[in-house]
Amino acid sequence: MKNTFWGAVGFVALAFFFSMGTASVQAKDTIRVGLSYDPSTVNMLELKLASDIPVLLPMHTALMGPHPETGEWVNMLAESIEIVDGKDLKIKLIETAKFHNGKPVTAHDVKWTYEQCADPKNANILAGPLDEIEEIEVIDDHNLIMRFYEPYAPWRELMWVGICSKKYYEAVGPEKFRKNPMGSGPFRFVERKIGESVTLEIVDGYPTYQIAAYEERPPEYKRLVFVTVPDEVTRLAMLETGELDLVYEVAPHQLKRLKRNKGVKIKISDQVPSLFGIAALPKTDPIMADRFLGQAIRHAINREEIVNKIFLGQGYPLFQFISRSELGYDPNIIYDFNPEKSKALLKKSAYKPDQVLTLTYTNMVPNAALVAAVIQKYLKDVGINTNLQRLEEGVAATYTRKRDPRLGHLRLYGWAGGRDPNLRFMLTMVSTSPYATTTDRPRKKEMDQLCRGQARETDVEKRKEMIAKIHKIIAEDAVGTFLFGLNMIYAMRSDMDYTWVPNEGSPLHLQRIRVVK
Amino acid sequence: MKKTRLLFIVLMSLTLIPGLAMAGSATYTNADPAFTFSYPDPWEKKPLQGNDVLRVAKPGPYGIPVINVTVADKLADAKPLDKAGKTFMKAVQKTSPGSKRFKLLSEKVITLPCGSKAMAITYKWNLNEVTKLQSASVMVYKGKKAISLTGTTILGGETTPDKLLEMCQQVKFK
Repeated sequence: MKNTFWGAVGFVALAFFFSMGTASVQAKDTIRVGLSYDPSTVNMLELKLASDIPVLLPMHTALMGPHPETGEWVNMLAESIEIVDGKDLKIKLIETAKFHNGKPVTAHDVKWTYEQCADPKNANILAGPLDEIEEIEVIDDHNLIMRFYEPYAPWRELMWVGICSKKYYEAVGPEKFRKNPMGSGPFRFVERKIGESVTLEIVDGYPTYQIAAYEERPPEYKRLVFVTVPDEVTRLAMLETGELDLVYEVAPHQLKRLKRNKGVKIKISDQVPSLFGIAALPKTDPIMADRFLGQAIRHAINREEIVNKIFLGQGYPLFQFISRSELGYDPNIIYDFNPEKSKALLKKSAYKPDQVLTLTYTNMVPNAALVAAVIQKYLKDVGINTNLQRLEEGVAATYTRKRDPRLGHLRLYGWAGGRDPNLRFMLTMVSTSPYATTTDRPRKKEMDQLCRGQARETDVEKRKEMIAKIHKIIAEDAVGTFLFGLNMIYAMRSDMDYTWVPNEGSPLHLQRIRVVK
Repeated sequence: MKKTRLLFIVLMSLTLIPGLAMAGSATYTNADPAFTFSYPDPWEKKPLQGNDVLRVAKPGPYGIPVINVTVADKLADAKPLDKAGKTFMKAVQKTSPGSKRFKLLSEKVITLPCGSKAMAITYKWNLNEVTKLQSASVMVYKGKKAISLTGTTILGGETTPDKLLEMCQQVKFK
């Protein structure tokens, strides 16, 4: 009996011990994020692709960055930024910031990092954008001036460069820095396995300094691993089995499957950069500059139906040449789906019923073939005949640059977008740009002046007025139309919680992932 | 096993023979002044502009990097070769209306593999409001002619100015 009793006690104790053991094993100290690609670099100074940013930025802090909850652009390493002489930035750094080796972040590091990123020798994709800065003058360890060639309205877009340690780089050399980068962000670099993963680790004692714009709490896990899993189905299967903890850019048709798994939590953000539309190409055929035809196309398309039927409701109609996340977005501008109005407008146009327009699509737009087919049907319903043409994106880009008529009359496009419309305006609206869809719009001179003017207007309110005027001209000219934006669907294991940073296209502030106890 | 090793040795030796290492390149031959220029074989010829005798670009949607070779009469008041760098850059600016922000990155007199002296410069510039470029140019004087080879690509592109310069140096004067 005694033996049985002690045996039972022993069993219970063992069971308790093992259950404790299991619990401690299950306590999440590592978060694995699934990536659809292998990062091309872990070195901020040699940034090659925009897709590398979510892997790089956790190691770094920048002068400015998005507020983790509101998405608003806020100071981070910068304590204050003041525009002086109408174009230059006088920057004061917070004095408590430290690199991962405990050394202070100084103005010398900022100047050096920016110069390295702008140096063509490093083949950094930031070299072009940063070429707006003529020189950087260090005043003292915590004060500097960035001098611009000219006033540059989207200067905030240059403030997210992750600052690197000049002294560390000089001590270890470029090769070691490339393989073991160091910044002042929440995570330190641990290792990279090419084609497999990048492992980062929370810096001891993080937050080691506070950014004034928001309260940073100690992270609830230790390691962050970016795992390369190119195949979407495999990525989702790994999330379901617990081999991954967070995946993003989930296709809407996968939602049904994921929702069945109680171990998976799904979240959706409708505040991410996303813009899909149809470009009209007057260089192919002058009829495409006919504003009545353009307006007829706008009212012929049922955007709501496209979003609901093709993207299962995971998006929203767009009526402007702008993503929701961008400066100047106006939710009050709407073109109603009105086939009768469309037909009436078409009658006023020079379009002849026997004319067939070519609608080109590439894989740049998700479900492009289906979207193109549906648009073909909408246009047919109001009397506009189209042929569909599928091209490889590279071929379409070549045709676009050369204004080759083989591109067709209409082209479905996608724009990854961001926070600022400047680049898109300068590329596609200014009549002298090689990518301008139309070079002889009726108010060409005014449009060119507005686009160039907004690029140099550092007063945000004045700039908004100019941007609104640009959108008004775009609406009047009706060369092309805008279709929809898509939500960001992201999914995670249910024992953790992460909220997407508004207005961002990739997952940021991953140190703020909460682990459900 | 022996056959594999032999094949390996043969393959290795092929990569060490300079003439064969250039396999995969195409050659442009100029009669007067007499020179040849080797460029990657898949690169495509593009329409000539100005004093171009050759313009080739990497195949792709954006037609970059591009290398152009020019032959022009040497001006009577032409700067000596060691001072020709900035002058050349200014000439590029003059022939590209709307271009600005030219910045010299490096400038040095070099000896080409064929033994000719040349001025080699790298620089960055804006073609227009949206297109920012990086270039490398090699200039040579031969008799009454001035020859230049200029490689250009997008600023921050994978083909760095040093790589462009290396490509431009594949010119051989006879």
